[in-house]
Amino acid sequence: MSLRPYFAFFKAYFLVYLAYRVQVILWFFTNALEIAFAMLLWTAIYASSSVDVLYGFTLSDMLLYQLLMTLSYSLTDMNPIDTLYDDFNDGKIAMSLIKPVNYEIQTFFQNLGANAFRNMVLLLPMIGIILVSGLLNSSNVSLSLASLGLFVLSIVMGLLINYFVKFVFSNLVFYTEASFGLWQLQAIVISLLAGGIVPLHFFPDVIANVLRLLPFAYIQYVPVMALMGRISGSELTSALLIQSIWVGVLALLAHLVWKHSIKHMKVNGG
Amino acid sequence: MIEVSHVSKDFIKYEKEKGLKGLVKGFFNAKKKIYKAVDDISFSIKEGEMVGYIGANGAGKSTTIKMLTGILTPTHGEIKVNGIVPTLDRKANAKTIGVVFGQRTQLWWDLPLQESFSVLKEIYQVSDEDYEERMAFFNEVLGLNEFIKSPVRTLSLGQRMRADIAASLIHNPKVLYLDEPTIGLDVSAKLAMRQAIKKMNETFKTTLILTTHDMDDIEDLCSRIMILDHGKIIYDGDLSKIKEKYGTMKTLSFSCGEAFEQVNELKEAFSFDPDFSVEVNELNLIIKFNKHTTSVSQVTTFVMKHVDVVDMSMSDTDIETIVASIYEAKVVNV
Repeated sequence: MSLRPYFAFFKAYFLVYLAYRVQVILWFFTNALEIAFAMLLWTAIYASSSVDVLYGFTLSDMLLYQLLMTLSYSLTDMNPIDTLYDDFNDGKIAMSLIKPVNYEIQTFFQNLGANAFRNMVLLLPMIGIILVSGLLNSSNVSLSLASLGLFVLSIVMGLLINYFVKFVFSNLVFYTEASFGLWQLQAIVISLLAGGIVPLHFFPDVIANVLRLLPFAYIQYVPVMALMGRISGSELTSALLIQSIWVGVLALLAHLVWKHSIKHMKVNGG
Repeated sequence: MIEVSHVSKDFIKYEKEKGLKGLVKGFFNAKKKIYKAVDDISFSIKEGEMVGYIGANGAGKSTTIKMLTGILTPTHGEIKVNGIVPTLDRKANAKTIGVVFGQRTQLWWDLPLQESFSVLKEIYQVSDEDYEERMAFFNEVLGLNEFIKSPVRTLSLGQRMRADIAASLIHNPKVLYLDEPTIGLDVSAKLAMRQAIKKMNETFKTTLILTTHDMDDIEDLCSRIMILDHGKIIYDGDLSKIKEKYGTMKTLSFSCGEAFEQVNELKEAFSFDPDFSVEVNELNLIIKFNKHTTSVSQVTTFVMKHVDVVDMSMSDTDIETIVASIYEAKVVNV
């Protein structure tokens, strides 16, 4: 199978985003606001706390964690829910199905195109903030080629997990014929379970242990903790192993769910 | 080329009762109702044939096209296009077909038109020479170059449809499915589209299935028509035969200097013709009658005796009216 046609989808979506300049400016502002808000919140929490270290995190650890989570959120961000909702709800999927392409791969590359564009815009400023803030030094994170390499590997798997989880979610669109509620639900659930709001080890042990088995922790949390040196050695090896197992399991699940959906599809409108 | 045997498509519809109570009830216990969009149809189409597929709204035309293109799976029956079962091998089928759904577009809404074409070139893996040659051809008949650099969302409907037709032909498909391709187009755009389709058919023996509500499209392009009603094919055959059988009606329109008030007398005078009908619209008088039972001179003489005629015109029944009467009668005997 040649991937050439799919790069055309990648490119098309990249270009689509390029056509919306205002959107890019809005991304900048929402991201800047989110980061500023998290920084202020955690600074206030630490200031009002009687101890300097919460669950093994100093203030600068926490600030770095929040920055890295924002960065990894952007890196792993995929929105098949939007794509599939658009396609199903008004029957646009018909236009994809008349083409000699695999719909699942096509959707993946479209989302990857959007992701690439977003990161082209946001990545450098975010890396800049992280470097300039000096938080890497104050939380004793030493970057090496190996740790960066593992981070990249883990982020790529995180992106795949995020994509497949959302793809499976999206297929619920078939059964509920409603997307807005679903979209909100998945956004909150994934953010909370993935450690986007607080680090997972802030949860009680029982919950934290369960969360470590679920796929959500492997989207951003594991790569970020690996980069910060909080997961290392054999713990890191097993984390990466579980991560790769989840990639496989979810890819298979997504495929099966899709096969089921396509058989039961109605094409709305005309 | 296309073989369809005993194909049906059922849809399950959930009926919701009226009001808030009904919505709540429907949420927990929706009433299922099976609805046959296509009901046991069979036909076959040869290579290079151009077939008009017509029927009232909701007759099942689009559902048939969606099954032929592999988008929907038939509930019963078998479809083969070029030896391929479309739903089982959708991708292989997709390589050899071109599709236009009039109310949708396969172009990228936010991209300049030429970007959509270069994406399609990649998808269908069209070689550079073929691509250049076909784009030149499309530009010649469809005038694409005027707007090839504009984003698709800024195109007028006519421009967008011309672009969509070109998009469906970029890989020189063996079968072309056009589902209401001239919907909302002006006369010159329609002519350009028909010309492009005809040329493709002549040059490459492209097989065509066309659904439309515009009978001019059918008359211009198709020699064979299939009429669908409530999911069943009620006529499959020559267009000319249908016209011969049902085209016996003539229409006379008069513009009168004063109001025509003798409608009842007129009806009575021609009561021997069961197809006779009169319509008065202010100063205009429209009379329809069967040309085998009533003569033109009889009608004009009667009218001119009673009213001052400013202008008059006569027309044979167009295919549209024929089809409307077939839909109503639901039977076709040719």
